[in-house]
Amino acid sequence: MEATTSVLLERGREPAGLNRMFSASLLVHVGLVATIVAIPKSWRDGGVAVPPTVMTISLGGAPGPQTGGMNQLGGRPIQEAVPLPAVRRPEPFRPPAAKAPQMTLPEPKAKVLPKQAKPPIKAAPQEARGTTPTKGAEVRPGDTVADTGGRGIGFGGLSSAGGGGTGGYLEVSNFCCPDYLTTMLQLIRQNWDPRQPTPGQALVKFTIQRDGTIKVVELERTSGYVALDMAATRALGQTRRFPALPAAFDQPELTVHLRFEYSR
Amino acid sequence: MRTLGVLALVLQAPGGAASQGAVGSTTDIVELVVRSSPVIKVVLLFLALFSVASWAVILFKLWSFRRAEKHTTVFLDVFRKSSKFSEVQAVCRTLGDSPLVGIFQTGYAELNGQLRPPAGGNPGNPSGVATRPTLKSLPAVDRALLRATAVELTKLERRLPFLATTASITPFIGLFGTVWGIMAAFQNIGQVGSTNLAVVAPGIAEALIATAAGLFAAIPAVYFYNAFTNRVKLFATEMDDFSLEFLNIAEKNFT
Repeated sequence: MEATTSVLLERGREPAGLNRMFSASLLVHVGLVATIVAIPKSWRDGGVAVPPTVMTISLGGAPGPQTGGMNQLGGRPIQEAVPLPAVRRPEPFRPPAAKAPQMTLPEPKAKVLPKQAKPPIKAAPQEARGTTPTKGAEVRPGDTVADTGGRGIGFGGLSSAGGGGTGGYLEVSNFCCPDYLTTMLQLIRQNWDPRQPTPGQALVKFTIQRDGTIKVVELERTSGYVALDMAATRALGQTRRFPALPAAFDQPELTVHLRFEYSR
Repeated sequence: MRTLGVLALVLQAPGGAASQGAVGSTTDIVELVVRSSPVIKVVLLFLALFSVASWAVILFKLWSFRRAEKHTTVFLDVFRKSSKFSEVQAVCRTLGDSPLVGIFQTGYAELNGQLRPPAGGNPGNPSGVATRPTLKSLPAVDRALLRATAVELTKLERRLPFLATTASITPFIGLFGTVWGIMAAFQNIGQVGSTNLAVVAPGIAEALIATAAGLFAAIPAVYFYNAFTNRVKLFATEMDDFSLEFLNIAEKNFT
């Protein structure tokens, strides 16, 4: 064989080391997978909890007869008479205080003028005539809630339950069993005294177990007033027990954060 | 006194201990992979193999290119400083990873083969003494250098097509897994008869993992394929340059 060719054949051989790199690569991959499996689940999620479902119920007015339901009239804002803002009038002109009359002697030869009779008033003065009749106070939509007797609780706009007698709505985005919540809230509402002397919000956390018993009642955020906090926790304490969790809800217990809002 | 009560209620997805019962709605990657269908598992296995192999090639090429560059610098330094080809040839053993060494060794062998019979003296001596040997054919040296260049280029480019293959097919393999998974998800919808998001979402999430894995394998392969091709091009220029330099020296000294 020619010398050149043998040199070329010698040179054409691939240097060793690919096998080593293959095992290194395998090792790195296995390590990566092991790391992903080993790190705590909360890290993998990035510490972002599933956004909690927020449901809002508003209760308005006194409890009415159990005749409502299936209508959307409940709790609609109605027109409210708003008093017009007071107009600042200019202060009436006050003449300076009269001077004390000087003593003068009457003129002996003064003529006494005859008294002129005032002309009779035929029409009311211009300012009293009221050319533009007033329509009363301006009417604006307010936030007063009318009690129409309808419950109008719409769970995500899908269903509305009748009865109850308070206008209001309940917004549930993603909970399986809205009926259960309705029952739950009804039970709580029966024991809740919303009539308190001061406004405030108390956040109460509790856990409903599979069989419906309430496990832990905690005051999560105080309203700042013992009376309001007590009223909220008492509502749950007196309820004691809910119906068993629905079968469609697949988890062993349900943790609820309930905000009790007292507005005056 | 008018009382207006507003109840706001936050339902929280129970975390921690309560989550073991939550099978239907988890989005955790590990659980998704574990629960996925056999087809997706096979796809993921394939992608893992491709990823391992392509990273092996990447690491190997990185290592060998780095060595080649280092050796080339040293070799050029030696080559330009020394006055005898035999001196350079002696150094070549330690600098075997440079492609220029291959070219030099081939050229040196060719020169030796041509010079030895007529001269018989010191054939590798480019300094040209009184008994100066002469070259039979300069084009033959040129051809030998060309052959060496081709061999070195082939060596440098070896395994790079595998990276290109990985870069182009792993996204498709991943996509196949995803399409399969979505098909399964739709079948599931049909059986359950519900388009509830809780029914659809896990299947689709599980299917999308395959695409993610495909991209995971493909992206480094694309990047390094381009980087390596570029480096091979640089090596090729260097080799051409060196061949011409070598030819010039040979022509000056042996004709």
